Amino acid sequence: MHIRIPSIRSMLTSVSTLTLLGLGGCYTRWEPLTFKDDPQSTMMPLSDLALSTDEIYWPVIWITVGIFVLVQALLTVAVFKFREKPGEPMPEQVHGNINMELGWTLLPVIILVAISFPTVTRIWAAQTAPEGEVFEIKVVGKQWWFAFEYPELGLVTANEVHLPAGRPVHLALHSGDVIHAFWIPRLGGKRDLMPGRINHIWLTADMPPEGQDSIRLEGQCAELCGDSHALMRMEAIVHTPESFDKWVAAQKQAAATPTEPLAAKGAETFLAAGCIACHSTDPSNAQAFLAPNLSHFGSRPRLAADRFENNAENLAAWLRNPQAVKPGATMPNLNLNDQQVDALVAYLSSLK
Amino acid sequence: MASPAIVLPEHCSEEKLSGIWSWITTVDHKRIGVMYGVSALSFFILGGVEALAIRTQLAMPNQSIVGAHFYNSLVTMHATTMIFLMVMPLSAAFFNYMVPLMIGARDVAFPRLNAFSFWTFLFGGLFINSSFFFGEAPAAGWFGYANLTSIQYSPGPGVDFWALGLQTLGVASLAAGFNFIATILNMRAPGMSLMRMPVFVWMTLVVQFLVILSFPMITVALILLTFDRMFGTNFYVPEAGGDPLLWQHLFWLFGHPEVYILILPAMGIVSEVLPVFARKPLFGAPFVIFSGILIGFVGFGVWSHHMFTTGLGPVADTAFSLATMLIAIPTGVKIFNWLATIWGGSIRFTTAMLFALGFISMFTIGGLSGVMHASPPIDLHHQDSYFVVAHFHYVLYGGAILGLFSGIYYWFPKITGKLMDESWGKVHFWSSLVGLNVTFFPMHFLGMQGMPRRVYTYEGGFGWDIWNLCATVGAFTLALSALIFFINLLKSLANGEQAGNDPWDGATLEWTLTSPPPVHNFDLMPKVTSERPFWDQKYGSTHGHDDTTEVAEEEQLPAEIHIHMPPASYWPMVVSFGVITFFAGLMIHPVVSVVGALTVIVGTVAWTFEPE
Repeated sequence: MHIRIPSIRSMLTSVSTLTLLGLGGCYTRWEPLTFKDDPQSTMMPLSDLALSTDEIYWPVIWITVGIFVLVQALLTVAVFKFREKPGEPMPEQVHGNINMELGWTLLPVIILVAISFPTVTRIWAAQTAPEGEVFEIKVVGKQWWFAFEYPELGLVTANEVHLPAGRPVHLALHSGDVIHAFWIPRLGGKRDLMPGRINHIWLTADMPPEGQDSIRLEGQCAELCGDSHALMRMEAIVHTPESFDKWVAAQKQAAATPTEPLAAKGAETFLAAGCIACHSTDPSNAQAFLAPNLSHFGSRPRLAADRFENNAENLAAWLRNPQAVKPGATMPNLNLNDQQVDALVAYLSSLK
Repeated sequence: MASPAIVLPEHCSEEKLSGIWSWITTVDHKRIGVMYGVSALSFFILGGVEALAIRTQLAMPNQSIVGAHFYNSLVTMHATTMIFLMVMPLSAAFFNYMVPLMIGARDVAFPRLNAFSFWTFLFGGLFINSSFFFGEAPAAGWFGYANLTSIQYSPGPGVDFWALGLQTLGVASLAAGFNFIATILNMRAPGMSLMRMPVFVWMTLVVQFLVILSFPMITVALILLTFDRMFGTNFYVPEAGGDPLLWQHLFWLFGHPEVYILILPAMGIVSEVLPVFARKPLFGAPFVIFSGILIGFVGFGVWSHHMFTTGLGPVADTAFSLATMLIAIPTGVKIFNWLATIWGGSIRFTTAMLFALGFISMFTIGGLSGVMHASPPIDLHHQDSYFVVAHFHYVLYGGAILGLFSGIYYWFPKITGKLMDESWGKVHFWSSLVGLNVTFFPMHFLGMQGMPRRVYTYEGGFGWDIWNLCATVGAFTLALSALIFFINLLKSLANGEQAGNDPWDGATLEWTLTSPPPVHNFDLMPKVTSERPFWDQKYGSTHGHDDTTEVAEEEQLPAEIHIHMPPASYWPMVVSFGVITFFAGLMIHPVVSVVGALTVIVGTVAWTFEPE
């Protein structure tokens, strides 16, 4: 009798189709475990990249929960059923059973093969540049803040990255000193910022929720990078196309010249005290990766790498003694007097 | 069996075997084992205190009980201590004490080299920890990623203490590795073929191969780091064409096998304890043994799963992802074999058994979360988040440490002649089980909520507050359980119930001896007819087909021939002292290093010419 042996290729195709269908059936999100109200939740995807992770994350969660329940159930039954009873004869001395053992070797094989198909497809998808036009953003991690450059716009920002929703974005990841990691969980998994090489993230952010023209997403450095690693935070602001254009137009405005006397005095102090040596107030100054670009500092809700609320009190504390706010901060303590601090606070806050 | 009168050399007499000096100069594997155990448990307290400091700092948001830099030192030293100074040496305590007894040997192959391993380990551990008193404890994380460890970004002495200390510990581990391979392969009693070796001895053997093959990798990595820091080379300095990623490859080529170095001894212990207290043989012992060997092999091919975020590209990510899934298979097999071992048995719930059962349950959680991050898309979230912290604590506390506790309760009577208190033992077990789940389970949630590891502080409003508080409460519960353990240990040591030779109805050779065993171990070389020689002696063989013919009487060498008692020696300790002096000298002054090197040379020569 002639037996038709299916080709390897068709077998692989059917196995992968079956497992994908099976796993697809497992893509059930259990709301309490989505941590939907937590700003850095890894379980609330807001981009194509994050969604593709989510689609494998949940099936794997359910598979592992299933195996866990199976093992604990067997253990529990064994513990209750086979506890020593007085006068019990010696249990049968079973040395093994090759068929059973092959069986429970095969079981994990099948499960892992099932997980491996969607895993491998996603590894490649995430690391392949999308076709067509891509919005470029250069990310530079430094101890302990993030710089973002938008080459086609001629803009730089610090600690806030602005993304247009619905457009493929390429994040080119650089480091200015040690290894950091770029991680905004709602946009997807992390990638390291490696000194001496460039890493890549490609993603398309989803539209902000109905009725909002932008949404702020929290993120932070995920690789131990020195003393203030914990304080190296950032935000991503995902805009609708209209909101993004508006933001670009506003950002392209040069830093405002202060009119109020105290702020004007602050502008002088900014030059005289030496702030200008590291900080630029020119929004297009891409050379200035030395220190955060301050051209629109007043419009940022947070300061010191997105860690503290941007108000006069926190800003003054930061200017007086940066190391006290952020251990090891590379911004020197300029020993500013009270008048200088007040003037600088007024000036910086005016840079909307 | 009738034992002829054993006449031991004069240096084995009662008075020569007491006092500090007898411990310093001992070459007896049992005493060295005890010293490993005591040191490891002392470092366990130290690492535990560091853990409590970490958890206290993180109990609530925005706390500043410790500063940022010191916090980084705490996480670095907690991990370094628990891995290299607690789990590894506590495993070594059992290798030392039990392996010669379980294979029916007089001692390890090289008793003085064994003493050298211990002293080198102890000096290395004290050296790393002395950094707390000399300005700066290491603060770059236990895997010390370049280029944060460069002189530019870590100018203090901490990284030097860490690198040179680990180098010293590597010397100790390598010497011990070769020693145990030689012992296990050459010194088994007649009849003990490899497949009749107890599974614990098998796992010891696999671990030693992992040690001798993986430690050279970190040795190289650390030499390059030390050269970068002390002599201005640029192996890891990107500005000068070096590559920080080189460190990660070298480190994890060591670091992943290291994970199995930590867990396999516990798996070996559990494979001894479960059959004894279920009164059944280990189900599918060959499967368990070959799984261990397979884990050992594949363990060298999965290192880059620690590096999925570094951008190695899709080919490497795919290969290492699949290899990592592959290694889950032999691990899963073992779980089911252990379950089948107790299935149909007659289970006695001693403390040792409870810890072994706890191991199965808790290690499964750690293993399953490991399968999750074998998939790089998921790993890109888990990596460096609290999820991974949860994962490896389930593997290391729920796995390695529960397994080692099981071993302590199981073999304590053999080592001391006294039983540990079972009621306190059970309190210890249940408080450990509750404590470890309350501490580490919420960390899964923290990871899913996006909390990165190694942050010395965090803000409120991220949903992290409650789980952090929960973990802190759990950590103090664990501390309490450890306190109960230590009290029980000391109490039982002082006035525990007499154990007798064979309190558990054991199956392996160590239970044929008195408790504690005589200094020379076996009067007569034991005969081995199956993997359960003592069981067979008591109940008859259960292998119908097995060769049960007794080893011929002439093969049982008389005592004066097979019992060789090497004299005590202080030279191993002197050489160890030379090693640590050499490494410390690199930080102090070259002259100190020269003195250290000379001490090593003089000590080795003197050691060589010592009378047999």
